[in-house]
Parts: sequence; structure tokens; C-alpha cells
Amino acid sequence: MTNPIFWVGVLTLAAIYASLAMALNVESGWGGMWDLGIAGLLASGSYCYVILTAGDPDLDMRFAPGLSMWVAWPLSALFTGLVAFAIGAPALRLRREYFLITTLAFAEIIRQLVIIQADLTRGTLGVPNINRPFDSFVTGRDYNYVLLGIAVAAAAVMYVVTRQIGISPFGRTLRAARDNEAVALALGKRVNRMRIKTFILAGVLIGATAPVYLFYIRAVSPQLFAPGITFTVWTALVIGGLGSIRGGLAGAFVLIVFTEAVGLIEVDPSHINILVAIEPFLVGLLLVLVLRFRPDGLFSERSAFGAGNRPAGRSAGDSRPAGAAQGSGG
Amino acid sequence: MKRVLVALLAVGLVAAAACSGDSGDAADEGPVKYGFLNGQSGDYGPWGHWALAAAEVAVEELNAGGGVLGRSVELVVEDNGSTPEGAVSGFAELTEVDGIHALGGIESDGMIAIFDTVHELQIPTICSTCGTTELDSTGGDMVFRIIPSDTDNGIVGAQVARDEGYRNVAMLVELSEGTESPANVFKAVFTEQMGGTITEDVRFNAGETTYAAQVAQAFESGPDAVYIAAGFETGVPILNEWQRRGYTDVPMIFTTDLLSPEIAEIVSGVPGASAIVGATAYDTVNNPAWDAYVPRFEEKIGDPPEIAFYDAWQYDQYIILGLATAKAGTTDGAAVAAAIPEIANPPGVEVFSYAQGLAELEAGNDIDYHGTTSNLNLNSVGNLLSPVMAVIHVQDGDWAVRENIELDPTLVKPS
Repeated sequence: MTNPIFWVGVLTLAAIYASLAMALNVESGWGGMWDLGIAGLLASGSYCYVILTAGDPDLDMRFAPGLSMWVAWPLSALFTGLVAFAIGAPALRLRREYFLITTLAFAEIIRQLVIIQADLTRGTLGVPNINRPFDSFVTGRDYNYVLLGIAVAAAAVMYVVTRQIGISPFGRTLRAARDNEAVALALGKRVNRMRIKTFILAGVLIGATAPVYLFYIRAVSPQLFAPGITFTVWTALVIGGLGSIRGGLAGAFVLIVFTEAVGLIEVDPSHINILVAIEPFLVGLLLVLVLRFRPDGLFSERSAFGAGNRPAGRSAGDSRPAGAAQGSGG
Repeated sequence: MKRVLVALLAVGLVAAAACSGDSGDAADEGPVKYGFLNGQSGDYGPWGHWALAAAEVAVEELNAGGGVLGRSVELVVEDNGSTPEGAVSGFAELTEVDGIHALGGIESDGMIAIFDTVHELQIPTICSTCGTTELDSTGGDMVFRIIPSDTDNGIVGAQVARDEGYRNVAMLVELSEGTESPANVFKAVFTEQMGGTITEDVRFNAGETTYAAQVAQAFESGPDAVYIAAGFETGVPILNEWQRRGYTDVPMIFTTDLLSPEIAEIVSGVPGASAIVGATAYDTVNNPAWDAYVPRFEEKIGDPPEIAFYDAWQYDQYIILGLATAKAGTTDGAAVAAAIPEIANPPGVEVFSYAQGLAELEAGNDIDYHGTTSNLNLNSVGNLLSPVMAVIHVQDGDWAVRENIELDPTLVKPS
């Protein structure tokens, strides 16, 4: 049997991605806002946490208050919510692919800001030695179990929070506005305000996950927040089931465990390039197979909320991006 | 709930299937396992093929020399996708699944991410492609760097500019850790310690559609030369722009990543564009280790070693690890790490290969391994003590060593 510590690490990463996928589900699955800026929000939360906890003068950072991680953690979540508001205010005026591209652009802008503000963030050099909770009590390999506990606890909290949102009147209205904005407006719902609230809420949830991600990586640099991370979260959510309550959770575990299991295939070193090429192919194949046989993902929105909650003649797979009903362009 | 159970069962089955690998314990028997954690895909992917081939040449040499501690040597390869996240998960797989005894191949950002874990798990690690200035003052107990720091690369760039007589230099710098670090040192040393002037400091991102504006900004600022720090994939469109806009009379100084065959090919096709130099650590003159390495690498891959592909450092690190393990007489991480400076530094009989070093160790002699890239002498924090730098220029369509120089000791790392 493989050393369990390895799988502890894999499950830790899966739990982190599960948290991110569940946060994404709130805005994209239920809100219909197809956000490609996850990496930017994660970068905001991560750098906020790193800057607030930094206290080592050797790091030569302009602002390094050295706050406790327990103070910096919630502040990172709030700061990411503010960033989400700054992005959402202009971006949510746009619809469909225009919104999608705008959020992707904002994520890249955030990454560039991190690089440019080198005296605050250390630019491309990044920050090593991230402060981690309880590492003075548990060290070495054993700390992996602590980290798994933190990541699973964070994912559990995320599940409870997002589930409550999903079944609340707010969540129902959010899905209703996604499916038929005109009707929601006719019923007096303030759809735009609801969407910006949702976008901010997703930002707060992603910002709250960011420190856990850093505990796993143990260093931060702009390269960490390339668009690839956004697509991984999206892939997890689509596999699990966009719009379902459990989809993000299940999809992330399936995706990350599958990806790492593929990496365990043993090949001769001279054939490593073949394995490297096959890995994304197999992950893509997994996605295709899931979409072929379970178009709504492993868990469908219909099963989560009941068929009665959806308009007649539409399936969860028909979810459209924000404002699709209006048909208005950028 | 039923579906949750089905999904978790599926995950469990995948995990169980994957659990059929080797034990994660670094056993005292069986092969000595050296990990190779490297970007075979992603940003560092273009270098991956050459890097791996060089590592394989080294491990073949170890095994041809009778193995290490009488055991065969196995190279365990893991792709880190050129990302810190990939480095963390790849390192976990190498240590917990494969049970490696030592590690090589890692790049700067991945090294920073696993630095603390390397120490906690006591895995001797040689960084063969980490220029990061972050390692300038840390390491030497478990982590060692056999490539010059970006600080050295920045200083030698300024030294070349000074020696070529350039007083006004424009800069074109890609925004990445590996290119900004030497460029920032270059700028500080050139202006503060040499009194030079930076006519324009242009920074840009990789992957932009066009670099016309950036190239024009730099070359039209009236410089004696332009210092370019970029990856070679970015360098190609920049040089196409340089050629198209007719700036070919302005000399250029390149960082190591640009010293690739593609760049040499572009430059050699431009008449009069000869004053193009780069500087990198490359000790190819009267070096038996280099002379022995080149034909074996060429046999392995079909091409001779390329300056910008960092392959020779990949080779050196595994010869060092093999000799250090032999000297330590055990695969214990702390013992091997302690032996690394002992075999890389004098005093001792200077040796140029694993077989030569092993013979001297078995005869009870201390050794001082001289690698393909330099004498590999290390300072107290595991960095190269005095890297020999080669000034490179384009000759007959390829890069050629013009001269070897030592870093000017009067030039210091800026604070």
C-alpha cells in the first residue's frame, strides 16, 4: 500500500478545491454568473493574508504588520469580498460572454497588480514560509493530518453555508432570476442588487479558503494564480454537477483523486513525456464521459431541489449565464 | 445520499487502485532512488527533454560505475507542471510513494514551495535550475545550489556591459521571477556601482500578441546597448521585431534563457548584428568532465548540449549525490547532505567523474569533484563560491564561448 501520508495530501488538496467549487456554485450554478476570475479572487485573499501576517524584516515588505493568522484570516475573506464588489460593480452590467471575459481580465489585472506592487507583495519573487496554524505543536509528516483536518473542516463549513444559501428564499430567488429574469423583475425582485450581493458573498467564501490553500502550498507567488486554477475549479464543479448542492464537493474529490491517481502510473523515465501528455487527456476523457452519461454532472440540480422547483420543460443543464433572458450584449 | 455513497465509493476505488505502488519508506535495501522533480510540462516544458536526458546520462554513469553503496541507482521522474502546486504534490509523491533518498531537478518557484518540507523530511536536495535570490542567504544544510544565483547573473551582465564600454543601456525585461531577478541586480549594479545610465526600463508580460511598442521604446531611447532578460519563447518575437524595425546596429546583452539555438539562428541571419553577447556559467575550456559528458549526451539525445538548456547542471547534481552518498556510506538524508560540501569542496584529490571519485573514496582519500559546469565549490549557505562565467556570442549560426571570466569581486550584491 502507498504511504497514507500521500493520500492525506491528496485529500487535503481535494478538500480545498471542493471549497472553491462550492463557492463558485453559488454565483455560477445558482446565480448564473459564469465567473472566470476565481484565480484573481483567490490571489486577493492569499496576498491579503500573507501581507497581514508578514512580520519578518528580511522580507523587506513595505507593509508587514505581523498580525495573528486568526485575525488575518477573516480580514482576508472580507477584503476579497471588497475586491469582488469592485469587480462585480462594473462587470455585472455586462451579460453572457462579455461578463465571462471581463472576469477573466480582472483576474489577470489582479495578478499584474501583485507583480507591479513589488514593495508590498515582493512581486515575482513571492513570499516563502507561510505561517500555518498549530505548526508549533505538530511538526513534520504528522502536520499533514492537521492540515487535512483544517481543509476538511473548511469544506464542511462551506458545505453548510452554501447549502443554507441554496435552500433559503434568497437562493430560490437567485435561481428563479437565473432561469427567467423577466419574471423575477415583474415580481418585484431587485435582480441586479441580488447578483452583486451573491458575487460579493462568493468573494468572501473564496477569500476565506485562500489561507487554507496557502497552508498547503507554503509559499505564494503570482505564478500560483494563473488561469489554470480557475479552470480546475470549473472542471470540478461541472463533473460534480453545476447547480447542485453536493456537486462541487463530489466533483473536486473525484477530479483531484483521479488526477493524482493518473500521476501514479509508472513509466520508464524516457517515456515521461508520453505520461505528461496522457494525464490531461485522461482528465478530459473523464469530463467527456461524465457529460455524456450524466449531462447534469454526478449530482443534478433537479435532484438537489426537486423537479417542482424548476420551470417546466427545462433541465438544470439549461442554466444560462447572467442576463441571458434579456439577450443584451456588452 | 445513495449517490453520495456511490461517488465516494468511486473515489475510494480509484484511490485503492492507485495504492498498489511501492512502499513509501526509503528502504535500506533495493535501489538507491534519486528523485527528478522538474517541469516536463508547462512553462519549463521546453527545457524538460534536455534536462531529463542529462539526468539519465548521470544515472547511467553511476550504475556503470558499480552503483552507489553497491546498489543500483534508480531515477524517479515526476513532472511538476512548472507550478508550485505541482511541485508540492510531486514532492509528496516522490517522498511518500516512491521513497526517494535525494532530490534534484527542481526550479526556483517549486523549490521555494517545498523548501521547509525538504528540511522536515531530511531529503538532500540539489537545485540545478534555481537562480532565485531567495536562496542567496538560506540553505547549505539540506538544500544546495550548483547554478549561479540571479544575483551573479545580474552582476556579470553589468560587468559585460562595462567591459564592452557601454554607458547608456536600455532594458527589456519579461515580468517573471527568473528574468526580473537578474535584471534588477543588473540595473542596481550598473547604475549605482558603475555610474551607468538606464535610458529606458521596459517591462512586459510573456505571451503578448506583439512587442512592437516595447521594442521601439527601448531601442529608440538612445542606448549604447539593450539588455534583454526574457524567456526564449518571448525572445523570438522580440528579435523578429528588432530585425523588422531595423535596430540591428544596436548591440544587445542577453540573459541565459535567451542563449538558445532559435535565437542564434535569427541573429546570425542579420548582417552586422554581431555584437550580441550573453554571459552564463559554463566551464567548457580544458575541463575533462565536460569533454566526457558531451559525447554521451549527444549519443543520448542526438544533439550536442545547448547552453541555455541547463542540462549540464542536471548531470552534475546526480554525480554529486552519488559521490556524497558513497562518502556518507549510507542513504540517511542528514549524512548525505553533510557529505555534499565535503565532496564538492577542497581539500581533496580533484576528480572529474563518478568512477574516478569513487576510486579515490575507496582508497580512503578526500575528493574535490569538478563538474561539467564549474569547480562546484560551495559556500556556507550551499551556493557556488565563485562561478566561472562564460561570455557567449553568436558565431557561425550558433552560440560560442568567447572567453571565460570571473566575477569582479569589487562588484557586490545591491542591498
